[in-house]
Amino acid sequence: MAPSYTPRAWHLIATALVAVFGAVVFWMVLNPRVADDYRAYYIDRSSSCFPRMISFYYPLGRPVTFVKGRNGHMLDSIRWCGFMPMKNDGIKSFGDYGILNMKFPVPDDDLLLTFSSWTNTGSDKPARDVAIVVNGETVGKVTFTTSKRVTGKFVIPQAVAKAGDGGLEIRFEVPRIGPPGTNSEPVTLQIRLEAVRVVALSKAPPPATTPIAVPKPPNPPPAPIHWGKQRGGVSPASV
Amino acid sequence: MDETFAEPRATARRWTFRIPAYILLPFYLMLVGVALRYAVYVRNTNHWGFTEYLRALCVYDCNAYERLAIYGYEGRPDGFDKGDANNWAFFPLYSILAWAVSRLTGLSVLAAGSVLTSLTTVWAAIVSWPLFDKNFRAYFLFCFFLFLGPFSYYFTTLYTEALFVLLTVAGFVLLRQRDYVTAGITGALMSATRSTGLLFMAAILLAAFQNHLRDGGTVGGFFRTLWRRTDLLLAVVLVPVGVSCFAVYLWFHSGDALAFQHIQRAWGRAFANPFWNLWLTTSQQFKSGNYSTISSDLAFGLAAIFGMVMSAIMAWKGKWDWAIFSLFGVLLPLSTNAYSMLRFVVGIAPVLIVAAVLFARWKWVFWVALPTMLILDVFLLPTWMSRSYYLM
Repeated sequence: MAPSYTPRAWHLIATALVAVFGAVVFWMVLNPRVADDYRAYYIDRSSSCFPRMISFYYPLGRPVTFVKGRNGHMLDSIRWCGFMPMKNDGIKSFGDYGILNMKFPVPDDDLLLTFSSWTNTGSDKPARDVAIVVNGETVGKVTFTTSKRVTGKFVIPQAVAKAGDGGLEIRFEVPRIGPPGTNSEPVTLQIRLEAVRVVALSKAPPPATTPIAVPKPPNPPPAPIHWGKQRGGVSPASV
Repeated sequence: MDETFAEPRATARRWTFRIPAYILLPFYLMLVGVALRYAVYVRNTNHWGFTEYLRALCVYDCNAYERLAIYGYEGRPDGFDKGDANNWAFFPLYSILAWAVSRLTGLSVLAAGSVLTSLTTVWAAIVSWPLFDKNFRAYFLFCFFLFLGPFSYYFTTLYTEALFVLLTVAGFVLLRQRDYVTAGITGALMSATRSTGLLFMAAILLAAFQNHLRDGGTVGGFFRTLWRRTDLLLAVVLVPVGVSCFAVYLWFHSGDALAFQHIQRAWGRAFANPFWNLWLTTSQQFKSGNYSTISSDLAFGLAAIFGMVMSAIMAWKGKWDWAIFSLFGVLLPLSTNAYSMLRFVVGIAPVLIVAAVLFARWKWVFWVALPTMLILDVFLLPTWMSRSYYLM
């Protein structure tokens, strides 16, 4: 004999209440109230990094080292998005770009950007270009042909420096070097920054812009100088 | 005079002996398991502190559940190297219970959570007894796996596996008893514990269909009478209530009701073809020429395959509600990544039950399985305590 079932009113009332609750939840799902950076990274996935909450503090002209244990370590206030924390070999980018963000009174002068970097490429691989974009304007590119350290030096025109929100947003755009893995994230070149410095051009030796950078010559033997935090010094490798 | 005293004593003795073995067994095995793991810890570390032992067992997500119970949900993500992680990915029910036990007993969250997990596992084992159809050998193997098996630490420290297994077996027992509304409430608790709890909606419908056929109904009759099944309707809509409550909380807390899913990007999880992920994880080590060891990727893949094979056996045995729940319990996490598949498969109760029934079918397999599991438990424990990614 086939089983018979009896509808119950309280079931329907309870179901209706749960359905109303479900409608509210559905509305909440469709209407997130989040910041743009959150939406871009987590919801749209249009951004490849999620910005850190930082002070953006940068005293213009001061060199910053990203190598743990060196003097500039205390100045980890400009690593904003797309760079991992400091390690013994600098800060490593992930995703399509890494961004340093620094705030300072922009002088009425061109600026000189200098940085020391290397990548996870090798001489057996194709040359990899990394574009340097400052405040939305491309100021040059660095080409990596080996895994050796490369020093980048770029002049940032005053107009570009002034175009920012009271400082510089320096973006290192790296190429994609492989198809996405199981996490759907693209496989990209990883740039490793060891040190960076921005200085007013008039206060720096006249630079030669190097659109295609060359490997830096070997470092001289370290001088018997102890660079202390008090002096705010810089490690010899980054000048 | 003597008879007056003798009678109550005899009655008391009889009552004591009447506690069924299926209730006593998990308690005994739990105690033996705790003693064994503690002894292994002391042997390996030379430390006798029991709190230190509990701390040593609490690795990886255990810390996240502990912190969640102590501090609640975090603010803006800033964890991991990429600065994009926080604890929104962890469902709340387990940590709420651990917090409650801690407040009630005055124990630390670590100790309270460990007690909660152990007792929850005992409870899960006892509740699961009807699902074994009086097959005590299989039940013994199941309990042995939970308390003395190679993954016993999941059922000892602050992980959601024990609670999820308890709710799953309770849900399936209730479905067998045709108590769909209570099963729906259990499903709501499941979805507040883990996202795969949502799969219980499908299990309810399939169980109702199978029960209808067992009760003498027909396929057509089931669909014709579906409009009268208000109990089924309520049961199914109750299941997502758990995760919905979590979503409402997250909307107020973070602004994103689906933050628990979106934050998974920090763990490198994104939806893709689960079978493609399975292929990638199982073939990876062979592409690099490693034919001699089992890498963690291959172990994850083998765990997923084991879960799917067990699901197929459930379907073959006519337990479609178990089969669909288990199959998608494997495929859902596998569709985002193969990481932690060992843990996810171990947390699917029907897989454990069917595997226990299968291995207990032959006496010699049963007798080989027991010492094998025990040896693995002893030898894998130090590996687990040293934060092995392999076992995660």
